[in-house]
Amino acid sequence: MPVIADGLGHRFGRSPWLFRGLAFQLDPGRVYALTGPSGSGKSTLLALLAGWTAPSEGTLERRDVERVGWVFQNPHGSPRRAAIDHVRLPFLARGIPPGEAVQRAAELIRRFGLESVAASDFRQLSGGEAQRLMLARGVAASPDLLLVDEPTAQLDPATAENVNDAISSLAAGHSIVVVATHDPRTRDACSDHIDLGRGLGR
Amino acid sequence: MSRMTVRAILLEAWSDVVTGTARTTLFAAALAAVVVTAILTDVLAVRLLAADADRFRSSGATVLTVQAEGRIDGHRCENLGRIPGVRASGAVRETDSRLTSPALRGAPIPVSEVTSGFPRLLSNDVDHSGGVVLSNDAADVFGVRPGGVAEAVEGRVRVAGRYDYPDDGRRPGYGYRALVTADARHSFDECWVDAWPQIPNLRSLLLFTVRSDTGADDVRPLLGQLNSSHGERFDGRERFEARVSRFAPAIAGIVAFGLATAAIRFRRIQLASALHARVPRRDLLAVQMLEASSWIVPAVCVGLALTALLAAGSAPGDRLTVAIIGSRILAVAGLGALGGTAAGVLFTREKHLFRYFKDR
Repeated sequence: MPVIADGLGHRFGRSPWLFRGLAFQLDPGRVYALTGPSGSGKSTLLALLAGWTAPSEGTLERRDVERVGWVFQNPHGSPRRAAIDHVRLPFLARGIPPGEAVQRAAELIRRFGLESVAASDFRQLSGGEAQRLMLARGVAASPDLLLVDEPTAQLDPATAENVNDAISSLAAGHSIVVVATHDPRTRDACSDHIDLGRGLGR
Repeated sequence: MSRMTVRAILLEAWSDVVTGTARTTLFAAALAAVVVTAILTDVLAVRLLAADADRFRSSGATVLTVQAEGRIDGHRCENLGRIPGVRASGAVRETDSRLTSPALRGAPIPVSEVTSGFPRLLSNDVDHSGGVVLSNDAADVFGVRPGGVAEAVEGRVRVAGRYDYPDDGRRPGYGYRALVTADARHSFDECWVDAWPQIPNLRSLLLFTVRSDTGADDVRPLLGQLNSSHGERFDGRERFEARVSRFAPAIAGIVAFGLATAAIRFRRIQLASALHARVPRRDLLAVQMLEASSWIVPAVCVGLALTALLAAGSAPGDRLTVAIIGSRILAVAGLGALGGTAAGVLFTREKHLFRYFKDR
């Protein structure tokens, strides 16, 4: 179920083109960094990938992509609910019994380095912990395409490092992951790279 | 589409309640305040109305009279008392007799002859062992209680009962008087009848107690009311149906609906996030309904307890009305809150979460 772009370009009305002639194929199990200067259209490309907007030119084929998950730069959660509850919910939502859902949530919590705060309230988490929790929740929902928007934009460098470690572990699943970022270290944590100035690279 | 297990739904609702995420205490207190206010307002309004009705009735305003000197058929008048809804009826006539206390020879008590049903128009506490029925003022002159014997200048007489006849706008003349029972076959001067609730055509029925074979047909019988100072009719039903507080259930329901939608609105991002985490909307609805029940049920219990207290403190005849008022408000408020919850969930969209992305 790849996502294939060919000759992709977009602009709003008569305004200048944000990007043109973009061609790439996104495959499951890989994590794509989407970079480019401010105003280069990173957010717009995410919106195109999510299917919210049709491209101005070219084609964007999304084969068997039914579920699109998002992780935003502002972590959101239920302040008084435990961290692990946030990761457990997507499993419960799919009809998995509570006992098994907790086990699977705990695995993800470990994978994202959150064991020490698993039982803490969401409101007690640091910014970096909350962001990693959102990534774990995003993975738990098991989307076909996971779009991550500037995950380290609000974080200090040390905290961002932990989040970047978590991003590198996103590649293990069956999802296509696209991470829009300004942060070169986040880019380096990804397996592939789309530079809106230059196209797909490694 | 898969759906959450029942245990998972219960677990999520329970977790939100015990962690305070559902704000159970806050919303239970708010809804309790709404239903308590609504119930108190409406029950108070109905109690004021009932008090007005009691005042109207106890003033003698419900007693209708027809005057036709020497032309009232005692039997016919007594028979009015058999009409369904009529509380008492009886005929009365003036006599020249007096009852005089040795202690107050200068103020002899006028004596009226009445049919046996008449004393019940003035007092519910009259025994039927015979004797005279005295107004309170007259009884006080003799210093005698019902069942006792009055030592009058005219002789000893048993007192069968006494009645209160305050100066509250009712027709004067019976505040200082003695009533003795006479044979209903005689003719009388007046017929009195009391019905509660009031019977619309009772006045015309009163006219049937006037004999037409007395040769005095040119004198028209005079219809009246024992106490006309409160008006002719007590429009209890109309006033009940027109009371402002009749909107209490609707207002309680609307406010409860608003509270529930506010409860959802406060958590819209959380719920949008749950939808994004693939929680089916029907399961989200089930969880939210359970959470809403966690504050609706305690508030309804408070309202039920208040209703029970108010009903217990009401007159026996008003208890059912109070129970109905309370139950109706609680039912509408409870359904309003559930409806508000459902509407809140149904209008929550995954896209509310995406504003995080789009708004930046």
